Order: sequence, then C-alpha cells, then structure tokens
Amino acid sequence: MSTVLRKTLFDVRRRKLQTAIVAVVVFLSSLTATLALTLLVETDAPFDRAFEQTQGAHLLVTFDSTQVTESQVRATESLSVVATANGPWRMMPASILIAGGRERVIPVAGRDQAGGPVDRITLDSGRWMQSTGEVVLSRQLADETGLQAGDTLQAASDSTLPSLRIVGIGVSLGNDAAAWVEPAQLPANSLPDQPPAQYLVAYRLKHASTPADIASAVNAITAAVPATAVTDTSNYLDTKLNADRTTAVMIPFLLAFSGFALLASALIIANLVSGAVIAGIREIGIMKSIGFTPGQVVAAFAGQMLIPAVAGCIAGLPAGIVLSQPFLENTAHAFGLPRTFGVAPGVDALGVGTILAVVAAAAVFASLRAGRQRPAEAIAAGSSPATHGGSWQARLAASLPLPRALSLGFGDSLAKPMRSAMTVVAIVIGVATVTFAAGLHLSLVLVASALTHDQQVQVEVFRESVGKNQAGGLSDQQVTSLIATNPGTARFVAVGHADASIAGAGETVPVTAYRGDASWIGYVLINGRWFNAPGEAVAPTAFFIRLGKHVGDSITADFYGTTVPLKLVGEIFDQQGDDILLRTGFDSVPAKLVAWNYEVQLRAGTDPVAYASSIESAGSGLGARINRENGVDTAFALINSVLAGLAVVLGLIAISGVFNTVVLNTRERARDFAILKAVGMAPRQVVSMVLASVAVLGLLGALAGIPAGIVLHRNIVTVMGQIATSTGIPDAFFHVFDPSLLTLLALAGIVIALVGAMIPAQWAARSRITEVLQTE
Amino acid sequence: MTPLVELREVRKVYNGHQESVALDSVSVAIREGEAAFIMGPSGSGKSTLLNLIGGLDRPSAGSVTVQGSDIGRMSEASLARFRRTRVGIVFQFFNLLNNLSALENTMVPAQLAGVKRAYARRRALDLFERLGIAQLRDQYPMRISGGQRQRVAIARALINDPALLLADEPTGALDSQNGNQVMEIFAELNRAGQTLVFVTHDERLARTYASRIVQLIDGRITADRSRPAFEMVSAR
Repeated sequence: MSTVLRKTLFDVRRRKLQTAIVAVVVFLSSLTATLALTLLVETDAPFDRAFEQTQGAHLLVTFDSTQVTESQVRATESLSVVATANGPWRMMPASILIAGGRERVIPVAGRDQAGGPVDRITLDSGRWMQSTGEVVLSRQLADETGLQAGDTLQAASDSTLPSLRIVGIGVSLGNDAAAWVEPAQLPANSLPDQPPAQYLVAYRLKHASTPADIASAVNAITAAVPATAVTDTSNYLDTKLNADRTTAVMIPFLLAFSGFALLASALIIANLVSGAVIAGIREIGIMKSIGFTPGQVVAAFAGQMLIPAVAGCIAGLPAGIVLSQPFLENTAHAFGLPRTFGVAPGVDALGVGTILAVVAAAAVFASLRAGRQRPAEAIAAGSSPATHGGSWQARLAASLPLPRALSLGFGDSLAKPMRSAMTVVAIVIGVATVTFAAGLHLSLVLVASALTHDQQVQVEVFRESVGKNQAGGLSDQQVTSLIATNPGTARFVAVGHADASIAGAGETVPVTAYRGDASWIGYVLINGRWFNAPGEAVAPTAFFIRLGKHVGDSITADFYGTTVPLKLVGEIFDQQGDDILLRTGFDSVPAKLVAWNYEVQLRAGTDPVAYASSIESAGSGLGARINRENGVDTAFALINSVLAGLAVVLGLIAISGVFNTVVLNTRERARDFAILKAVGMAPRQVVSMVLASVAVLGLLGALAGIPAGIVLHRNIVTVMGQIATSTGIPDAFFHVFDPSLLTLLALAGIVIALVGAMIPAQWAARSRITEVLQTE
Repeated sequence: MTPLVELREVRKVYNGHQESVALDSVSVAIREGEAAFIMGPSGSGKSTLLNLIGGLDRPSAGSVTVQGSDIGRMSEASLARFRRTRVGIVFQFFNLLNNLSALENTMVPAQLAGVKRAYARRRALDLFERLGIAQLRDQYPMRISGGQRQRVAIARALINDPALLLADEPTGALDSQNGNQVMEIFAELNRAGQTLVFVTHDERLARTYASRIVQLIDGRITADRSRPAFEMVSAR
C-alpha cells in the first residue's frame, strides 16, 4: 500500500467527524440530485413516453351495436390503414351511487385483459379482474368519487350492473371508459330506457402523424361499416394536445426546483470540501516538511474527501430513487398520464459522477492553493489565530445594546466572507424555494378557485343527463321554479349556448349566454369589466390574441345568419377548450336560446350533497354536479404535494449547508470558545453566540431569497398561464404575499439557519476548555 | 478561619488510550491573602491543579471547594458563573480574543455577567490606568507586545473583582524585563489583599514573590512551606 493511500485511510479514520459530515452532506446532495434529475427526465415529453410504453391508440372508434355486428367491427381491424388493433369491447352505461346517495351514469367497458397490442391499461393500484363481480375503475373516476381498491362500487336501482368489488385503479390514454368489468359481466341487452350498447376499438394506424392521416383512417373505417354505425371517434393528437397542456403547466416549476436542488447541492459540497481542506492547512505544511510532494499532498486530501463522498453517493443514489417514487407517482398523476418509469440509470449515474467531480475539484483546488505555500508558512498559518484585528461588524455589534454573547455572535457572522457568502447562497436558495412554493401554492388555490368558481357556484344543475331517457323531462320554467323555491338557493343564473361565426376566429365560436345578472359567478377579470348591458361580451385572453382585438373593441358576430355587433368589455381568466369563446347575456344573442343548465350559489350552511340530491330527485332527466367533483381539485392537490415535498428537500439541503458552515467555524474557533468559557461564558451563552452568528446569515438569506422567490413566482406563474391556455394572469393571482406571509418567510430564513446551527452550537458549548487550551 | 480554597483527597485521571493519573490524593488549603506558588517539573500536575481550582475542569475524586462552593457538584452553568465572578485566570499564552480590542477583551467577563456596558468600560479603563496600559485600549492583541498582552489579560482577570486570582506560568512567554514588570503587578495586587495562586517552575520567581510554595511531583504534594520555612530551606 502506498504511503499516500495509507496516510489517506489513516486520516479518514482519525477525522471521524469530518468524514461523517462529508458523507452525510454528499448523501443528502446525491439524494436531492437523483430526485431532481429523475423529475427532469419525467418532464421530458411525458405523453410521448407514456404513449409508446402503453402502446397508446392512435384512434379510438365507437360503434352503435344496433347498427353493426361484432364481426363487422372486427373486420375493420384488417383495413389497410390499420397497423394493429385491440377490441372490440362492449360498452354500456351503468348507474352508480356516489356520495350522498346520488346517482351518476358512467360508461363501463367489458374487457378481459389489461394488456394487448394497443391501449394497454396501466394499473395504479390493485390488480386486474379475475372474475365477474369485480371491477377496475379509471383513475379519473376514482379521483372524482374517492373510491379505492377494496371498496364497493354501488349500483343504482336502475343499473344494468350489480354492485361490484373494486379490485384496481387503472389508467388508459384517451380511453373514455370509466370502469372495466369482465365481458360476461355486461348484460346482453340494454334496459329499455337506456341507450344501446356500443363497441369500442383501439387502433394503431400505419400513418398517424397528422390530422389528415387520422381523418383518412376514420373515413376508411366509417366506409367499412353501415353509414350510421360510427357514433364517436377520438384520436391521440387531441389527447396529446390536452396532456401536453397539462404537463406544460407543471414543467416550468419542476425545472426551477430541480435546477435549485442541483445548484444548492454543488455549492454546499464545494463549501464543505474547500473548508475542510483549508482547516487542515497546518497538516499540509507538516506533510510537505517531511517530504510529501505537492501532488501527494493533493492526492491525500482529495482522497480524504472522495472516500466518504463515494460512501455518501452509494447511500444517496438508492435513497434518492426510493424518495423519488412518490414524486413520480404524483407527477404522472397530475399529468393525467400513467406512470412510465421509476429509475433513470444513465441520468442518475451522471448526477453521481457530477457530485464526485465537484468534490474532487473543490478538494484539489483548495489543497493546491494550500500546497503552494512553503511548509513553514503553512504550519504557521494553520497554527496562528485566524484574525489579526477587529472587523467593522464586530465593532458595530459591540455597540449594540444586546447581551454580550449575542453581540459577539453577530460580530462573528461575516468573519469568513467567502464561507459566509456560500452559506448565504444556500439559505437564499432555501428561502427562495419556500417563498416560491408558498406563493405558487396560494396562486394555485386562487387559480383553482377561479376555474371551478367554487366560492361562487357550489352546484350546477343540468336538464339532461347522459344515458337517461329525456322523455318527460322538466321544462326550463319548471326547473327555474324548482331552483328558485329551494330554500338552499341563494341565487342562480340560467345558462344557454349558441354558436357564432366571427371574422378572424378561424372556427365557430361557442357563445355562453347567461339569463340575468351573472357578474357574481366568479370569472376573474384580467382587464376591463363584466358585461352589464345588451350588446356587451367578455372573452378569455386567447380570443383577444386570435382576433387581434383589445378590451373596448367591437366585433360582429353572426348567429345562424343574423349578425349583431358585440362590444368586448372585459378580458377574463377562463379555461374552456382552446379558449376561443365568448360570454354574454341572453339578450345579446338574436337566436332563440334555451337554458339547459343553471349555476347555483347556495345559502351559507346548505349541504351541497343534500341540495344536489333534492334537485335530482325532483324530476327525471335532472342532474346536479357539485363543484368539487370535477377533478380539478385533485390535480392541484397533487401539484401542491410535489411542491411541498420539493420545498422540504431543498430546505433540508439549505439546513445541511448551514450545519456544515457552523461545524467548520466552531472547529476553527475552538480556541476562542475555550477562552470565552474560561472567563465565564455559560453553555447557554455559547449556544446563543453561535446561533446569533448564523441568524445574521439567515436574515441576509431571507432578504435576498424572498425577492428572488417572488420574482420566480411571478415569472413561473406567468409562463404556466401562457403555456397552459395562452391566458393572461389576473393581477390578483400574483398578490399573494401579504405582510404576515412575508414575515413568516423572513423567519423561515432564520429558522433554516438556527436549525442548521443548533447541533454544532451545542457541541461547541460542551467542548472542554482545558483540552482545547492545552493543545495549543 | 475557613480557607478560601480547600482541596481534599483530590484525584484527577485522564482517560486516553492509556489512563494517566495527573493528581493523586492531593489535599491543600489556601487562605485569603496568600500568594501560593505551585511548583514542580513538567508533567507534575501543576496546571491540572490550577484548572481544578479555577473550575476549568472537575476532579475525578475528592473535593475542590472555593469560598465554600464545591466545584465538583456544580452544573456547567453554575461553573461558568463561578469562573466569571469568583476567580480571574491569567494564562501563559495570554488567551486574548484577537478580533476584539484590548479594552473589549477586558470587558467581556463583566458583560457576560450582565454588567452594563458603560460600567464595564469605566471599570476596564480604571484597570488599564492602574496597570499602565491606558494607551492600548483600542489596540488589537496581535499588534501589541507580549508583556502588554499579559497586562491586558490581568486586567481581564480582575474586571469582576474576583476573590481569587490564578495564573499559569504568567511570565513563561515573556522576556525577563517584561516578566519582572508583570510579577511586580501581581505582587502589588497581593499586597493590596488579593489572594493569588500561581503555577510556575521558576524557583527564583517563587522565592521572590511567594508567601507559600507547594511542591508537586508526579501528581503528589511533596512539600508545602510558608515563607519563613522555604526561606530557611533555600538558605541551606
């Protein structure tokens, strides 16, 4: 064994604390880097990856079983445009009971296996059915109803299916089925008052890269069956568009978090390693004086750092992989996609390699710098006290009317400018992350509330319900009366729909019209005001951009041959389809409008579930949806959980950075602590002094980190809005940082600093005076 | 009269790779106003004895009592208060804080004891006048001579008006001229009633300034003589 290696191994064993700190910090950093890199990989074209992995369908076609036989449908799978196919699966509507005993009609498919050549279903939890009596729910239905594997899917009294045991939760890309059962579970015939069964086929096409390719395939399939047999089609390009929009919302903040994590890890490691090497400068002098060459000195010190660093990486890599699993699960869930992978070996190896390179570079740089000194100088530099005079901050602190332990601590805070700066940067990153995460959370709450209007509209009533017989349904007047007389109704507005042709829109523009005052229903204004007179309308940002219009401009809308001028009086925050739409009053639309749904605000204290039940039971064909059932809450909750998790990890990294700095500082200042204790500084005063020294860094970190977090928050939210739906963001969504929150965030910086310093401060307080002073 | 310092059957053992006995069955009492010099060769346990009296360390067995308080039974916080208020310690290598000025170094023990800054400053300036170092108040330790540093250290040791002043080889790092000047300061303090406990291996100093000499060898007291007695021994 070479002398250098023997010396390196001896020092690794001798310097147990330093070895342990390097190992722990590198462990945390490699854990974070693995997590960040894994998330980065997840955000790289997630739809395309999921689509390939599950052999997603280019085209899903639904056939009316009364118009076409199963063998005719199966024959379409051999058409020249089709590469391969899966199905046909019979689909039937089934009535189920959800919370509050209310009914809901869902499409259920008979499918004997989750796999197959096309449209493989990914199981999020549980297993596939093994017999009749079992059901697998789509993740969307599970999210909306709160049902999980092990629960029972309760059948309504008029259901085609019995109650079934839920054995799994599955995800399929673009497949409309809300639940899957064994094919034998579905009855041969539909009930008299329900629509007929349908056949669903999933196709992979030979050419599917453009909408024209898809349209050509649809035409070929439609031509191969009776004229009215195809009832619905959906294609992966539309699904991808929607999925990409969702993923694009999340990618900016995931990228920001991952970048933060990598930067913080690199900084902390560089700080730790260079600090540890510089602390050993006296030893470098001794090594050189007994004949070690500069290269051997560098090798010995780099080895001392690399051995625990490798150990930290070996532990941190699997820990990062394990920790990233729930993040990946939630991220994929929030994307609305099946989860596609758990480990990215190449990227993880790159991350670990980078960390070790940072360790080696910092160790080599610092020991080279120290190694350039002549032996006598290095020994003297390592033996003599670090400071030769007072600093301005020490003089300033001494003049403050504070207990001396605190003023000594404040005065020491910037004694090592470079190390303090690196520590402040770590705290800045931690505070900026917390600020950004808190701001984004609050903005997302506002966005979710603005999209669902849950503060304004608690229940939406529909005069039609999928799968229900419309005969004998209640009229608009009857429903209006029903809602108006319900004691739980605070106010409501009827909603009608029309289509308009508008020059420059490029497509038919859906117009949502409200009967009566609708200014209260919760659309947040970006510019202008809500409409309040005939001939006025509001529209989302995308509409203004598409038409090149501004608030205050007028447009001409053609409603079924009748043209009317409409003045655009407001730009609203909206998210419906591609946002090329208008909202206006009934009296602005020349065509006869029929109200099919009603947005209802409940009186305080009214139970939405009971209200919805009472409406639904009042007449056939009436449906009621409670605002929180629309699934938006789930996506936001998932984003929030990812946010919170990443903020915690980055907070830990910042804490470990402070810990490392304080360990280095207290070791270097052991003599000063011993002197102070010898002249009467009590252990509690030592702890106070150390904590005071980092509290300043925490405050500086907070002062820099809070504005950085706010700027990042504003930019990321803006980018998320632009990418998601080309929407502007209402100013109100940015104004989430009130004075109490800012105070808490400033405290967060100090808390990060204090938590990181607490343990080494106690070590310093417990150090023995005589041991330190006698080893001089 | 109750002694100011009393050690009874004190034993101090250091547990390293090999157990090392620094003091063994040491019993000694020091009365107010004495200038007790602890003498002995290197490794005899002199500094250990001083550390125990000053509350810098605790005995492994036996008791160390100063002004009636048993050091071995004190909590760490009580021990810190004890060091702050009842004793002043002067070290061989001064042990000043290099990032504080001479005056600030002196004020630290008073300020740690909760004395107001203005009062601590006034008291420190008085001591600087008495010790002839008033011109050094804004100087930093690394910029003044060894003798001046030791005077600052003496001022710091006296700032809280301790009952007992301890000094561990206080002239060991000084040239003879500075050493004599520092010793004259201690002698004057002793003449004014200040109890002193000194550690030194310099017999000349002990003979000149001690009222009592305690001889230690290998952790045990081998001789304990007051001035007439050790003067007679020296004369033989």
